[in-house]
Amino acid sequence: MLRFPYRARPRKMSRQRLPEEGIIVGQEGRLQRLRQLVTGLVRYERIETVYQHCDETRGYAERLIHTAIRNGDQHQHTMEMADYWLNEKDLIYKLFDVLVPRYQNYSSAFTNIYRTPIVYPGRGTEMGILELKGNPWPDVLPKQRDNRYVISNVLLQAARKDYNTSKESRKTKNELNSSSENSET
Amino acid sequence: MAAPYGMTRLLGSFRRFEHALFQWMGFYPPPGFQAELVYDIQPVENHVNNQQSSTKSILQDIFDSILLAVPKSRRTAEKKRTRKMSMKGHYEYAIPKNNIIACLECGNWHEKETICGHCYQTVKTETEEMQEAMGLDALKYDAPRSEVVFLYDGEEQERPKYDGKYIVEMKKQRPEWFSKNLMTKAHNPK
Amino acid sequence: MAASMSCKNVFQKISSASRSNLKRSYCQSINLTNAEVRRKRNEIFETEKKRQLGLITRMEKIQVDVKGPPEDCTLIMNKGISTPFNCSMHIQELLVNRSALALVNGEPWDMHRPLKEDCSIEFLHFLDEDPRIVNKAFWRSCCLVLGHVLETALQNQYYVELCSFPKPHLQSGSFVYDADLKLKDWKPTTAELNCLTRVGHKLHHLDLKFERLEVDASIALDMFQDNRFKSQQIPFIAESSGSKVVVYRVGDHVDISSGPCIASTNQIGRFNVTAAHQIDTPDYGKLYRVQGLGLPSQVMMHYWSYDILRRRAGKFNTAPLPRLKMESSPQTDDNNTEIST
Repeated sequence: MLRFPYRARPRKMSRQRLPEEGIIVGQEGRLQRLRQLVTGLVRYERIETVYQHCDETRGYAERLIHTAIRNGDQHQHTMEMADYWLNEKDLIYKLFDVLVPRYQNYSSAFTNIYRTPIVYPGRGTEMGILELKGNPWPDVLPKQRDNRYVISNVLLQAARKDYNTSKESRKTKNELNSSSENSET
Repeated sequence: MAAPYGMTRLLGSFRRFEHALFQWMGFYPPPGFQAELVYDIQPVENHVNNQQSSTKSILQDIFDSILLAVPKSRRTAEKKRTRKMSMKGHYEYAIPKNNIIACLECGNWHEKETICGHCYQTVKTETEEMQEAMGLDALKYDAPRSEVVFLYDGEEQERPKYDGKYIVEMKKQRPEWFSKNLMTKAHNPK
Repeated sequence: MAASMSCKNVFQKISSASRSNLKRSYCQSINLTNAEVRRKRNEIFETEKKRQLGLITRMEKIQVDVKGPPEDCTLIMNKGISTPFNCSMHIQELLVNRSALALVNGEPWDMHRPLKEDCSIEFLHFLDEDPRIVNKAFWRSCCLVLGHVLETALQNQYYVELCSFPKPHLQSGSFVYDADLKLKDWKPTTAELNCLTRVGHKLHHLDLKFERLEVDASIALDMFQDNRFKSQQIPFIAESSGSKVVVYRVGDHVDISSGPCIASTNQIGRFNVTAAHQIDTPDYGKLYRVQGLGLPSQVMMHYWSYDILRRRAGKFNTAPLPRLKMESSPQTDDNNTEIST
């Protein structure tokens, strides 16, 4: 089960400048760029690029890994996909030997995406970070805070507790009432 | 019919080329056959001396088959103003941003939807050091076929735990903010 | 429209108190109004504050080490005059706005309380990892504000005598002030509670500092001589803390409280008066337990969840009734150090 809602409509991403091929226009350029990004993601496990491009590759990366998990490396279509999407062929080994066992039992998406601050002065390009979960690098977000002592949570927790105890007492009261009715009849 | 603007220069240059060609060939086509362009740059006038009467040209066939893009209807004032005065490229730098918050860890400012740049910078420098320790070969050209594990100074006793994995030794102390539990699930408060 | 009409029955207009009603008051024993008493207390507070400032004859410097997320730095401040608030002003506006308390050498300290010696400071705010101390300070400050509301909101013929408030206990769901409102069998309607709420909410925009002052018991008695409850309590309080009583001023409202309070009313984001229940105390007789709910402006909450809390805050708060005896006195000093989850 693919645990990621990939986009239904492709982004335009026309006119991509690629290092070896130069500028490619149109859907072909988009696909070459996405291939490059998927390759980079599988190799470095964390890439920083234009946020919209990160978001676009996410669907393809997830789909690739999902297909690999489902079908394994003896499946012809899967191998063709891996061959197409991964420009560097040593990564095909990585996909099946490292990523598939890693994500075998995941019940969530395999990637994370973050927005990085816009650099001022500049063109105002919105950049993002795309990473594979379980990568060896330190986490992007500093650390998850334990918010249970923040005043709103304290009050809500108390309210929740209150509600649950009253619900239980109402439940037992109802049970008692119904049992007394049964005994009467 | 006057030609569209883009075509005028092309047609003009073609006419000049045609004229030069006939000059070079040494003969001009007979008066009946005229290399006439339908989309003429000048209005057609019935002069006696005018060689170019309104007969079909070779090029007319070619250009006829190309349907040139042309606006269907007039762009309304509203649409024009909307495009001109739109947020992007016009207003956005004039409006103050209300979404700037201070990072709770380091106190630096960032937009609400982004991560803290200062905190991420420390992560980035550490990642670069780790990649350097990993080596160019393993990183860029020959990806290891097992999970990569980084062991810092003083973590030698955990080596047998990672048997079968690609271990990289880091010649420094583990930073305080870098948790040891690399391969565990996300933080569960319970 | 109907709401405002019913408000007028009991409460005066939010704008101002009229002193002309002084002669026409129908109070049983006293001819006083809350406005008069408040003015008097304010004057005594002001003179005492000036006197205490006047005791500092020469400017001595102290070294203050500031630790914290934005930056660590060392400041040279004036002894007995500079407050943690002044320290934060030297560093960043972020600290000025969001700091509710300071930890001076590990001890919770008001933002507007002068520093006495070389120390290290940490600024606390509501979104810390462990904001329990700040939460208690917030609850305490809200109690003071509630007292302010009760003394200000009612019409002049009702001379309100505030009794006391219990230790801050967040899990109860509301902060409480017990007071003698001189109203007979009053069951507040929603409109009346809304009126009281609005009186309290105004203070947010006035940005009033919580000023702390340590006064001698005699001066405290002088201040609170018109309040029959507080004049009984002051000797007990002074006994435990060596003839000194800690007094807080918010705007022009003066009250006794032990623990640290937050920096300013600007930090109280949401404020609601939720209920008023009648209680019968053995020491003080029949009182009203007025309950309220509040949230800091730094902490955000959806109105739907806040509404759930508000309805819960309307239920009777089972905090201990106000007693004169020492063990259940609400002015004990271990408010700050006690940590309850």
